[in-house]
Amino acid sequence: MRSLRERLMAVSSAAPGARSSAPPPRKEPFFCREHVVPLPDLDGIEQTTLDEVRACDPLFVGTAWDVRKLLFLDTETTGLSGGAGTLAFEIGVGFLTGDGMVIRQYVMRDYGEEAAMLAEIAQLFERFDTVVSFNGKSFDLPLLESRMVMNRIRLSVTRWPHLDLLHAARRVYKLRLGRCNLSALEEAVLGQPRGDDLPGAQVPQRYFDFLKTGEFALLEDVLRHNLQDVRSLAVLTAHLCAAYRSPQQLTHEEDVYSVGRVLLRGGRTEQGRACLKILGHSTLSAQAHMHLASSYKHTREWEAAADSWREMIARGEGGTWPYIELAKYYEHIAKDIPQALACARSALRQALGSAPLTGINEMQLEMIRRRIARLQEKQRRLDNQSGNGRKQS
Amino acid sequence: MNLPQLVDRLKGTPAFMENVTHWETIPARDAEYADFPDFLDPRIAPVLAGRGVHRLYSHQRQAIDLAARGKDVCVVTPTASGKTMCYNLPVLDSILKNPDARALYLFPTKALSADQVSELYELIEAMGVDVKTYTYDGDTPAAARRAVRQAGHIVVTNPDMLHSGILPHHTKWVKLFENLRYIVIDEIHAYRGVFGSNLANVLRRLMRLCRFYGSNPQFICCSATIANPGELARTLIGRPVELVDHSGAASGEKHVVFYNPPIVNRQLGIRKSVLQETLRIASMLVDNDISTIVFGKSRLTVEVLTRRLKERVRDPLGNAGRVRGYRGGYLPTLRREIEQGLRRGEIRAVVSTNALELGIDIGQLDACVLCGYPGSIASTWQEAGRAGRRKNSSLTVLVASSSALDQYIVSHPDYFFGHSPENALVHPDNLYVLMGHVKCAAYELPFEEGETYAPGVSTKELLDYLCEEQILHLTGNRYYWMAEEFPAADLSLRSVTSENFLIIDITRPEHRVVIGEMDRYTVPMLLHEHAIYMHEGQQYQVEKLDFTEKKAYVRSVDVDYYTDADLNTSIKVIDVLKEQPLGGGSLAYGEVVVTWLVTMFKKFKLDTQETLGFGPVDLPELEMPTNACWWALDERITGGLSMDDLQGGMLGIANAMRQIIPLYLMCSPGDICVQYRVRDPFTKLPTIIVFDNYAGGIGLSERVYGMRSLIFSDVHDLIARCGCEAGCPSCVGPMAEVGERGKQTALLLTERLMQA
Repeated sequence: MRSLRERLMAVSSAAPGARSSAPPPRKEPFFCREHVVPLPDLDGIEQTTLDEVRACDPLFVGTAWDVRKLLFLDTETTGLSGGAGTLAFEIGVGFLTGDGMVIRQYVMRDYGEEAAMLAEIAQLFERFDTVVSFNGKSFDLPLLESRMVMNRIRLSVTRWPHLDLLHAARRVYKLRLGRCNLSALEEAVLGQPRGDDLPGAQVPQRYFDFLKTGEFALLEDVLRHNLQDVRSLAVLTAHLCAAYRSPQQLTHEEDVYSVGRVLLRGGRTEQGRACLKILGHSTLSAQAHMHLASSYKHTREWEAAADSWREMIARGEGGTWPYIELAKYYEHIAKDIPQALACARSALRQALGSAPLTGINEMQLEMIRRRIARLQEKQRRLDNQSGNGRKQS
Repeated sequence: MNLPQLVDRLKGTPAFMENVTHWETIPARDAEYADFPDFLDPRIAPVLAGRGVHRLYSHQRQAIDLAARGKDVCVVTPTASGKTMCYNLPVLDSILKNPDARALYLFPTKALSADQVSELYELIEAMGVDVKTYTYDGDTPAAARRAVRQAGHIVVTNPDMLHSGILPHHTKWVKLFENLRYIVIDEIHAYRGVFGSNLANVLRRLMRLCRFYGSNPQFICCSATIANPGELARTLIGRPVELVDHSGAASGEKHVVFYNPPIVNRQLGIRKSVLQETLRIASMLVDNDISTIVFGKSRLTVEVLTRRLKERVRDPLGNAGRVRGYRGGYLPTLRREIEQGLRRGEIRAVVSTNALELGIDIGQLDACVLCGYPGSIASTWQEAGRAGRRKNSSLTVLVASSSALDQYIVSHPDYFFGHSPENALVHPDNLYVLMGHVKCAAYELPFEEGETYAPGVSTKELLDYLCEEQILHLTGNRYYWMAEEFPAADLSLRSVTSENFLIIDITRPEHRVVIGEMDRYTVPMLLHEHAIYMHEGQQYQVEKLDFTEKKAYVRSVDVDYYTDADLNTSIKVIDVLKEQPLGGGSLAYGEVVVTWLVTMFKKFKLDTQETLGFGPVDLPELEMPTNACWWALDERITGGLSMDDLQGGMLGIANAMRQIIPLYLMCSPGDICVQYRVRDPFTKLPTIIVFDNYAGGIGLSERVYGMRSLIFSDVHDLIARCGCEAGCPSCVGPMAEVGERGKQTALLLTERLMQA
């Protein structure tokens, strides 16, 4: 993996260095530079499937996933406000060909080049049917569409099938990483820290400085940054799909847990449970068991649910929760009032026992006491009904 | 007694009539009708007929015809004359005929838009047609905004939202801009001064975008009676308009009475308090169960009057809900509740600031009492218009205060009834205003070389300046936005409404309630620590003012005094733009920064208004950049006068100018400030300064500069003609203020200035 990074760096920085940062000749209507990243360096993007993408993003509207019809997109802009005065001065796109991923970077060297650049982009879009971006749903695409309107180009891309990796990645990595911006993900997920990368906040000023001075070299950092971003879109897509394809191969238990929960929420019950089961002896086992049990309860697989609650009690997990759930189960499903009462009493003991550590939750205590009182009343009535039988025995 | 009986009774009461300086009776007028025009969509008339409208008033028909002929229209009609129909019908007609057509409604405040749109909703509902009307303002949920942008036929908003929420994001509003057919601006008389200048520029930006999207919408504006509605509308929209100013609506007989409180000390020229006389007249009306509105000029007046009137009507159980206060700082829900109570007739009397001057629907009342002259003829008519149903007679009593302006008005009824109401002043090409909007416009759409933004102003110069500032970038033949900032965020259309403070009642610490809000310029005056803040007649003491968090914590109290703060104003000259020598000094005009600092407050006894004590105020100062003109007076004017005499004389002139200038500039007294310095730090001479009381200026002091020494002959006239011995509130101010020789010195100084 590191070798790729080195190669990329070599591609993007050596070339302009060799050209001694002279501004590219101005004959073309706008600036465009192309790179090719070999397929093996993309961690398996070609193996991704529609099913995996739908697991990544349950709201994905596409009905097909042909990797050759994907357009990876990332723009560099003159600001973040998203109004009519913000422009995308650089548009980076990537798409897969037989050999690998072609990354094209379009730059308007002056505002006057915007129309031609956008026209080219609009044409390029026609060859594809799905967009892959990072936060493109709320930023890059609306901005591009706004620029198209300003330049009187009719292209409606905001309703295209769109895999926005920001949301997909957050669902999987948020628990482990907290922050989920692209460079944090590259470092933690893809194992590629960005060394001397240009901070995003400095990008607009770099462009304004370039406009004032005409020094194209000022933009090289921006282009390198963007090149890395576009490439990471493909790699991250591959990693996310792989995570859903075979979660058991994930190295971090937090990721397994997150994937399991997304799968459960997306209705992929068996796959989701499989993930949570892996975590039975991890630091996340309490939460995993809880969701597992809830999942069984949801599908009314009562025995399995009860097993999970008992397992939690045996492992001392979940505080009063498994006791109360079991009490409900015994009372309403198994119709075993004495057992239910025993569980409720254990819950009370548990709540009082943990009180010195967690403080007393008065409301919780009150609810448990009420449950016990109600169960005692039920028990008394049952005893009365079957009172004779008992005395005889 | 009903109102006609009461009117007869008053006419026969000498104790009342001897204080009446004028009684004007405006006869009732019959309605003039016209039929629905043939071209109107056939679905409209039956629905109106179902609501009891079988014909149009003549002015409604006229407006609809003009709109149909493609004209921009400005309708000027009194309250309750059915003006909303003048714009709702053309708009509905155009949308019914072409479902792609769009319209934009602008109201000066959120409250107004909510009120006016409800009528439109009802009409659309009754027709059963698919015309989507949406309100788009700060309260519109983010989820609903997309639907408004895509599908709204009629988008109702306010200038502030148009400025910062719609225009900078116009690419999301393609449907609206491409198909914009009508722009409706209601209450255009509210757009005067800075607010109006800003709106004119927002509309320039709007029309610029319409041109980009290929639409050319028509305007329909509505105005209350002012002197120059046509001129105002033309300045605001930048195009000529057709004026519709003859109302066809019926109106009942109107009595307008000027009442001057009796003099209690002739030597000092002191009259009975305007507050007490207002209270006496209002109480008489309330006692007779005549529905009444009382207008006070300040929040304080409103609260004192509300409290006293509530005491008057309190039933044995302590309920006084029949009387309510109404003013800006009340929360929207409370205001809606009061408006409804008024419409239903449950509230019999309301005491209000000019907040109810605008077209909020409170139904029509029978009587109106004005505590002091509202400051302009237009406002007076607007407030008086709150009383008067279509068929019954109504009564308006103007109770004069002792200020020179009030005294002048009640003693010169010809001036009031003979003059047309004031001009609404707007100065859209004010550089300060213009520059902010040119930036916004450049952000929204690159300027092309040779493009004109405002007629008469060199757009190129402005743009080149912005290029030098590296905000714009000229390339090819276009000026592109080259900054990260979002310029609309830095520009507020109203000078003071942003940054409101919350007022929190902590009487019950476990149950804190927000009872109101206040703009930051008023906060130091009314919400400093230890101030008595009055809200719906209840007194609160301010316990803590958190300036950074913008919160004031108040506790309910019951005391027999109120507080009033002393304001220190200082003026720093930034740039002298024009200057001319006088035969005794110089006259100059330029940019200044005015700084206000509240340093102390006084306590006054509620009933007698005597001073009970004072306390310090420790708050940061507030700054406002504006325009000013000033006279620096040298030895030739001030020669031979002692320092004390000079001080008294200059104060006297400043007091008189404060009264005179609004009459000549046709502005409200609050629009300008007059100050004097015996030794000014900038001119190093005795100096009289007049400045615009608006951030950025609105061209008032520039016009004063243009009057040169001429103004002093009017000041001299006013002082010389006053019957008092040595100064009174009607000319130079009371003797206690200007000194024994104050009036004399003021006369001497103005004589010298007239010749200078």
